[in-house]
Amino acid sequence: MKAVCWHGAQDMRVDNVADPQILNPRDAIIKITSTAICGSDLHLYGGFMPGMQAGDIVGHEFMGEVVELGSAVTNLSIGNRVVVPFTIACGQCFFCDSGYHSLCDNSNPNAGIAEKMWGQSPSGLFGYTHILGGYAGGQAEYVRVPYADVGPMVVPESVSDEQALFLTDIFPTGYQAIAQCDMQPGDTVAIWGCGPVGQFAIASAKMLGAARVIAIDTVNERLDMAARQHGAETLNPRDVGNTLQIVEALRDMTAGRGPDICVDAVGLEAHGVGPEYWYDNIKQSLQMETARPIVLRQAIMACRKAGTVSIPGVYGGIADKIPIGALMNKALTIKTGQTHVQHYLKPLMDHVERGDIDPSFVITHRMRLDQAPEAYDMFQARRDNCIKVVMQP
Amino acid sequence: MTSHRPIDYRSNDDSHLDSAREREKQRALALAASVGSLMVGMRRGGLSGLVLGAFSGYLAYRASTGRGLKGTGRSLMQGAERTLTGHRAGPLELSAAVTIARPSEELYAYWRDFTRLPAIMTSITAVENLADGRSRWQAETPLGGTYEWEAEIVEDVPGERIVWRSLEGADVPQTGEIRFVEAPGGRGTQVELKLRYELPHGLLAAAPLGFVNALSREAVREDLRHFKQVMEAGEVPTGAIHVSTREGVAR
Repeated sequence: MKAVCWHGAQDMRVDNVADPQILNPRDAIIKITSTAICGSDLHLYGGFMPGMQAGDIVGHEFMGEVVELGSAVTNLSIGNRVVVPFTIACGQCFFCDSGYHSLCDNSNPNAGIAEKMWGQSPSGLFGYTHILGGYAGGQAEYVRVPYADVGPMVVPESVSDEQALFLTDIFPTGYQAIAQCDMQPGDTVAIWGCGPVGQFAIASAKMLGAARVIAIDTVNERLDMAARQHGAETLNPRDVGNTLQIVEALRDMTAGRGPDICVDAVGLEAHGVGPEYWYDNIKQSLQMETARPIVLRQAIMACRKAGTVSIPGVYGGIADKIPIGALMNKALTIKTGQTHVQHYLKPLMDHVERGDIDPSFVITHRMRLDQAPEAYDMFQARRDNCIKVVMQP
Repeated sequence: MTSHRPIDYRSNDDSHLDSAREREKQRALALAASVGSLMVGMRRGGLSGLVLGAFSGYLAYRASTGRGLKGTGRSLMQGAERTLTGHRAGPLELSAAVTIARPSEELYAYWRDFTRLPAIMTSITAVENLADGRSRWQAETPLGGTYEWEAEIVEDVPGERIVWRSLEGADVPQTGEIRFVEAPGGRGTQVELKLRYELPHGLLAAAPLGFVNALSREAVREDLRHFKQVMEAGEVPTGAIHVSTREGVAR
């Protein structure tokens, strides 16, 4: 089969590899009909995530048709059209039972490595480093899906591929970023990063009743989408300046209170201006920190007293100069984590089916799987106003 | 049984050096060996020269303390072992614990049938039940050979603990104990696995048996993780695409 394989930084190739097989009783094989490139795939493409090996099949946003089932999977049938959560979860451990599927105790075969890095291991993920299991991803013609009796969800006929595809990751990820914050009536939500996850966070904040949403990004097309689609107010850091000036601007926009909920939907490759950005850039390239936590600093500094900082943006290792004094003295709450997709899949599918939201609004490019290297390059450079690429094998 | 016999390094008994004459002889031998290895080392140069130089210094030290050549091999082995594995000769005790969201009776019942352990314990390839609570265990060496030993159950408290030990004739005499304790707040069962290996000849001497990898806390923890995965999720996960590294195991 054809599959998109990582061969190093800035080096994605479409390789011919052997088809996947059923290896465990709870496995299924899915023939992929639609697959997308996630912003977090760009962290792999940029070479920022440790634990990748040349030849790894990438991709964790995919859906398709069930073509083969392991002996223990009885709730699916051959031919079912399914979306597959990017978090791999057994459904039967303490964390899955509690709705924390991205913290599944059992799905990471390399949990020992993750424990060395993070103390405890989260769940395995498709196509996202050997630290999280080394599972082959879904930017391919076929994929092996473990625990298929728990993860994949059958898509109603009335819902198209493009409407269902983002239930695998970015819609629930944006939704969880808001839902985990205990939002109160009248709350203002500031969201850094208006890529696809940011767009769904904005949409979810509106859906869950935020009084105001402030969208922050350096790319004007993304701010336009946020304003046009969800009526968000916008702030472009390029027009404002450095971290202190952004914090001041947000304080002014909220009459001195600061946003009640601050969402870092950017993660480890944040951009900034001046000495702060140079500092992080140098430390990151010398591998003295794995992240440039510029947005995280801004979110903590800007957040209202006793407010919540929510971090759906991806981080891998360590970061410097976190304003711990602001965090402590303002009594902030931090909410973060990979997304418990299985927990949100059903209610969000219902929203889509009822027509409350059409997630396909983020798609800017439709391409063939063969064009993946070109698509990565374009998405990384934000060329051609690229926000979201969907590919078909 | 195995074709490998551990090498015997137990010759560091100083009682044969009771005569002053013998001691002098050993001292002279060590000094001669020291000078010899220094000369060879200087002629060879490079890394091997450096190693020989260090060895020469070590022998000179032994000569100066009057210990001589005898026992050098064993002493070096112990030094290397401490450096490489952090383990001193003598029994090695490893333990690890895990919390499994299943009742203790169920976990006990699974473990009590030793024949299922190869699905969980990476170093064990087969276990066969014999008569009278005895069992025959088989493990694989890194070179693809196998070796076996027999074990018996010493203590058996249903739902609480099982203790087993190897019988006379095992290459690496060993004891195993698994305990099941209810976890707080309905979180299932805390499982503690303790393994004790006698290693009469040290850890490196057991290397040909492939024991160096199996004998780590990480390996014990990994085995317990497999136990948890099988009991909670019904299978050991694998990130492989085409060939599983371990067979999937149905509960």
